[in-house]
Amino acid sequence: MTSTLLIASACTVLLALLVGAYCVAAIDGAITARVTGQTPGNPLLIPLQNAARLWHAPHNETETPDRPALRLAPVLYLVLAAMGLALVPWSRDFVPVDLTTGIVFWGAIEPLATVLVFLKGWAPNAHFPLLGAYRYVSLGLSYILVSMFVLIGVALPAESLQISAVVDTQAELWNVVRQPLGLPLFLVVGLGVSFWGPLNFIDADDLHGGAASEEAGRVQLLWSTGRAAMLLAFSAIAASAFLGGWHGPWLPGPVWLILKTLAVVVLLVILGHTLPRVSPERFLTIAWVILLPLSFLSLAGAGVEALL
Amino acid sequence: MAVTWLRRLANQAPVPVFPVVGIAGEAALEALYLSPAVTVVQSPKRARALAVMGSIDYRDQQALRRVHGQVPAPRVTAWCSAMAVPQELSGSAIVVDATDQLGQQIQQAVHSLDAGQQSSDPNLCPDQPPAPWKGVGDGHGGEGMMGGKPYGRPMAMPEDDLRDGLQLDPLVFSIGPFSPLLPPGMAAKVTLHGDVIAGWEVLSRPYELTLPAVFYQALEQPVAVADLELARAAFHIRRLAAALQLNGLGAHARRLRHHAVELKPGQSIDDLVNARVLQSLRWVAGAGKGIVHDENWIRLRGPAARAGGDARDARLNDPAYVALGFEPVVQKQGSCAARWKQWRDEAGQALTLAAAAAKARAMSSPSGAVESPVGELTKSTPPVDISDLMPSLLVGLEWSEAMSVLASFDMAAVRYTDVIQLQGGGE
Repeated sequence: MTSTLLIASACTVLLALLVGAYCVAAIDGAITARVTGQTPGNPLLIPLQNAARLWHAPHNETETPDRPALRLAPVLYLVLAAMGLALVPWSRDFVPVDLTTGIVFWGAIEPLATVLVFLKGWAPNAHFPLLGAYRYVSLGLSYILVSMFVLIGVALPAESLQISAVVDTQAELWNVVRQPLGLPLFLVVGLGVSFWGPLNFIDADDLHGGAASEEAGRVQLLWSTGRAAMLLAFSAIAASAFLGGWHGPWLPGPVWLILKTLAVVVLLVILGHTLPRVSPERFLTIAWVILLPLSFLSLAGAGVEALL
Repeated sequence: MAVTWLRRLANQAPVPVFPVVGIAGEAALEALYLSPAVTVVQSPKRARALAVMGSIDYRDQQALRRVHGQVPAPRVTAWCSAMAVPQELSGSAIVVDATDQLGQQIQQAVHSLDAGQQSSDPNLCPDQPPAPWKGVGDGHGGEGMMGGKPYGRPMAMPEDDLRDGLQLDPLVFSIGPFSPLLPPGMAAKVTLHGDVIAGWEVLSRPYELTLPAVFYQALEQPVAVADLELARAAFHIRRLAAALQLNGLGAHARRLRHHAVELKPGQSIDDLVNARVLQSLRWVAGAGKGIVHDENWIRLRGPAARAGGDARDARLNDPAYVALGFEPVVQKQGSCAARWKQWRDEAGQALTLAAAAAKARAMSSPSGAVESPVGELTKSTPPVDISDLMPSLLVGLEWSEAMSVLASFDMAAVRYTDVIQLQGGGE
């Protein structure tokens, strides 16, 4: 990779991360305004206003926190989102990081995110963040397994673990049609990884805000940005794995990717505002008894199709 | 220049406020929720301002000071209470009389604070741990202070787990009296095994609840049935909003709170909030829990009793309601989800009754008992506190289930004597 391409790739990922996190916040604000029926101001400015407020807000300090963990957790979570986003092909010729094991790499990001979320809950030395973190970790495995089977399913037609190859196989037929169970199952994973809506077990109101209950100011801003960035990175991976990525008529490839990614973001945000947080116990049952067998079924279907 | 621009941008965002609700502070809290100038937050650590609303009991003054200390400085305290402002805050706290101005005045005060035109509140508590750490290390992963409460600091000690007999470190802490998860004034000592509640001891009962004035007036004189029913519908809708917020549907909760102040007779509950959203509460944690059994059943009143199939309702004895064809709605299960559905159904019924009553110009008949939104209100026996039922209901539940169960009860006793005196009524 030439240095120019390296710089272009890094700039693209960083720009996409920042603009994407802003878009997630703006979409969330717009959907919130639609649900509440109240328009508190210009929806395009609200994310910037909130970010500026947090930037200026005073910092909160708990008693004897684990300071390295407190600082590292939100930063690394944001870095994980950036790493995920770097795997996404923007066009046939431009993939910031085109790993031959891209699918496996994304599969590694999900459990690493769980570790960081636990670190986030552990760091402040307070009980509600710790409870949120425990609750999150106890449910993590149940959807990460689903993610693995679903992603192996999209790798089978491509006969490759490279995300660009997965996108290439969808030139004629998107995986969402080829493997109809895949995308709905993967969306559940997205809600879990970015702890959004019904699967927000960590920052929940029933724990006074959980892992985020002890933070204020710039740490809170960084954590919120990380969450939005992870939702974006997940949506971009979902768009590449199931919706044909950059493929599409008339418009340039990157535009198609952006549109498809934002469509997944909108869908996830709407789900977050429509579904209440499910009971952790019930979700565990649903994940092991329904979602996991369905992901097996989806994988088996993909395997049969690959053999034929 | 850039800093000024960023500050201006920040000033356009709502200010996060943590509410401390005292006796008769409910109306101010609702006004705060509706204000576009502020956002009500669940944790004082995330707030820029503290809003004290209503009267704080003497026993909770120290707790108020602790909550004040948890709002990161520089901070603002807004005082919307008949109580005197603590001496330490007299120079910095803003005193607000009109509840509808509360949000806006807090926002202005925070802007003044940020601009350096106003000083921050002083700390009311010393900035040091209430109990010293005398172990090895810094207390986070440190050792040397295990078990019990060495030097006043509660520490973990392995005990048998409730579910599988394994040994777990129980986590003991107290919550309240100003936690948004509990009714105002209620405090509890909680013992957790993992996220399962192993112990729930009520340390202090909730403050007495102040009902909308129309229910007190109905005890003394005829009032328009339409007004009674609209107030009932608004009360239930606000409680449903709290349940939605607890379960992650904050935007729908805000929608309901805004609708609750502008209810019209004959409105359908489905116009206020998506029916499927309310129905989805059947799937949240604890929806099937919180069933009161045996001898305690008789202590439930109002919607909580009707949610378990008990059709007692003082409106059945009022000729005005009989003429309107009133029949109480009831559920069967008596669970958390049944109580939420009962609030929803009673709110819908109240809006329908209000329309019929407005058409017939129906007036209530004072007969010594009024069916309030939390049960039968009489001059001699207003609804009493039932928070002592909670330990038996909550022990063994997961934390999220327990919070749902708590959010499905009206536990507090109802204020009566002093409200009637204030209104100039009574015998």
